[in-house]
Amino acid sequence: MKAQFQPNPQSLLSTFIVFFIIHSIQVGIGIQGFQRIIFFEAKHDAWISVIVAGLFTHIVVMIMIKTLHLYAPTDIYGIHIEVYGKWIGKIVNSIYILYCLWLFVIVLINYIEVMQTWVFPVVPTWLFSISIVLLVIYGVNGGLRVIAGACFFSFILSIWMLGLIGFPIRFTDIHHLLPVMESNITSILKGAHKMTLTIIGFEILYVVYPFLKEREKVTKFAQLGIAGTNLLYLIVMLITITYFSPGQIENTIWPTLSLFKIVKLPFIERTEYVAVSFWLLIILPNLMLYLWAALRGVRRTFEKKTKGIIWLFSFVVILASLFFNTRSKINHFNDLFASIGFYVTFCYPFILFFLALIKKKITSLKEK
Amino acid sequence: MRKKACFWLWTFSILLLCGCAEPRILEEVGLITTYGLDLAKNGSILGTIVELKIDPRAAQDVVILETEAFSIRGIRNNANKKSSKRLASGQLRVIVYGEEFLKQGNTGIAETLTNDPSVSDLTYLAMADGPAREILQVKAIHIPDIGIHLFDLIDQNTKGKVIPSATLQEVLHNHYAVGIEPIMPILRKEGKEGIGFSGVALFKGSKLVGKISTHQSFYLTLIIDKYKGGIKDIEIKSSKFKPRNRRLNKTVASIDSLDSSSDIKLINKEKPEFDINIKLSGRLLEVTSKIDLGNPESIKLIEKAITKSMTKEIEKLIAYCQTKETDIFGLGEIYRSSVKHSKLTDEKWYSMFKEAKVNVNVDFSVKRTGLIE
Repeated sequence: MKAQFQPNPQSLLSTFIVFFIIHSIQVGIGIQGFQRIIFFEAKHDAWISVIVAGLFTHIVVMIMIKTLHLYAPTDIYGIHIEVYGKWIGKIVNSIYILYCLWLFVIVLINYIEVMQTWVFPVVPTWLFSISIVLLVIYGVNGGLRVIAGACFFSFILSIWMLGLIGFPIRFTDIHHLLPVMESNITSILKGAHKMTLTIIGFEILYVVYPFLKEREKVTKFAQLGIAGTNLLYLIVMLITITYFSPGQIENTIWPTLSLFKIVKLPFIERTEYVAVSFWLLIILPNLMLYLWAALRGVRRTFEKKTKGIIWLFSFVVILASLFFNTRSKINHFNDLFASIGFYVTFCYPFILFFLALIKKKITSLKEK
Repeated sequence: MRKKACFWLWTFSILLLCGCAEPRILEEVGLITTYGLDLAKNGSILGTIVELKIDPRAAQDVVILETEAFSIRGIRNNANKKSSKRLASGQLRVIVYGEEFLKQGNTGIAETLTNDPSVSDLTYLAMADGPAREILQVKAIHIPDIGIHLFDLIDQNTKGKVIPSATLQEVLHNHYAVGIEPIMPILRKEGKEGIGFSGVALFKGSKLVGKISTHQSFYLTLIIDKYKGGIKDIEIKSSKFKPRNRRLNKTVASIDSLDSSSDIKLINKEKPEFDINIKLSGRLLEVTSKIDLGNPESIKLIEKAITKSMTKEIEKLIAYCQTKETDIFGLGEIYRSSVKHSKLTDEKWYSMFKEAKVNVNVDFSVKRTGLIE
């Protein structure tokens, strides 16, 4: 295969769409309950952890775009082949494909668990996973342009939920945030580390990049997308800390959804039911992008048609979702993923950048 | 092509056949609007459930069920045996606890309630003066549905700031927080047919330790909340005013359109000392003594007298809470948020609060005196 990839002009996307892609892939299941995990580490300074993690994400995205610029137009699969050579490159690509599928399973099982605890306690897991996966396959078959559309609409259609977050504000107490910086630096950094599972997803840029029209503008919109997500997380975190008392946060599995419990509209008494069901719209682009990224990997690495592969992947994913059916199993699976995901998303881009830089220098020296 | 169509047909028909969540049709569900929880003899919970049935043929659509069980879910389960409709707690509005039940302390009942996603965080909690079942068993012509009546009663008075707000979220918040204790309004059966508020219950952790009257709860609200409107009669004990009649040996001033704000400050970090500044203004509508309201001098005199009497009442309230070791004002929260690395725990704060010095400054001013000067 060739390291570089130039898609035909009709499948290109406008660059600003990358804002919606990045934002909607980052916001997913993590936001439902990230406050508690970070609160365990950083206590009421958890919001500082959110800022720290957000700033670090900006740096990682910068490095990612720099790496992609080195070999533009290309994606991560091409860079792997270029840097590691044909065989090792293929192995690394396969690992990356598995990583994308793993993320898919994480999102799926966590959402199904929320659905089963809040709204439908007796509906079986397989029904949820099959119907959601069928929907995802439908989107992925439409190609990246359809998925990008889904991202756009998921953002636009779910923005009203931010307004509902305003309801709990009248019960908040600003004293919960004081005194600032009572936790030491180590626990704040530990809290930032725990943000991994929530903030992850922006590595999709590695795969989407060649499909964008104007490459010089990618930095601007990608960083904007990250900034939007960070702002959202910061707002949610601040409201959670001021609304709940410390003991409550530590005991609530999904504080964001519990925030909705206080919302009472004249025509809907219990808004959290709507919110939980509506969350499918937020999850959907997430799942589509991960499956699409995995399929891209197969096509780029093995140069195969992906028609049959998509069914194989879906089958594996559904099977996996059936296996993780209790809270403790899902928790364990999440933790395992968070520890690996941290290295893949936040450390690996730096390594890849330096390897790609060295490789480029060597090739240019050889040519001379 | 046909094969493919066949495949899809099968997949979707299977999905449709199995895709039925448990339906809850309104006519087949009994809505629990109120729970009453008491201590039963053998240590189990005596639950009283007010159920709202939707049945057009029934003359009365409210059913009161009583059962005993060891858990709160058990109460619902057992009550189901006596009900013609399946009980659901999605419309739960009020939970009334019996006094004995709360006296025994650590019950964990409120915590288990939030575990259920169908219970709203805006559910009101209240304590009964005596057993809760007596409140729920009140039968009167003017109360067609005791559940809705209790909800409206609490809702109206909470919004009017007559009693402090005690929703599930607020009680749990204060229960889990260090340095602030939960409170609940007390409901009392009045005569045969009436229900009214008789005060506010004070807790230490989840244990009932004291009660204050509705009169005192006004001062509690002054400290922890803001007034915008509201009426209050204030007693003045001063020799400068002559009572209107001989039977009344004190003067009462009636103030309405109350407007208040409070500010609590920690002024000594080593030995906790707080300043509570309360700013209050209102219309003076009635004074039970002969006094010339047109005279600025006498208005000042009244302001001074009211300030003095209020300060005294608030000091009394705080002293009472200190003897009961229950910090319902949230002074501990303020201490924790102003002292770095205080590592405050509940136990630590109970003893610190007892020793804490609290200075009360009330600033009362009469805005106007109604239509007549």
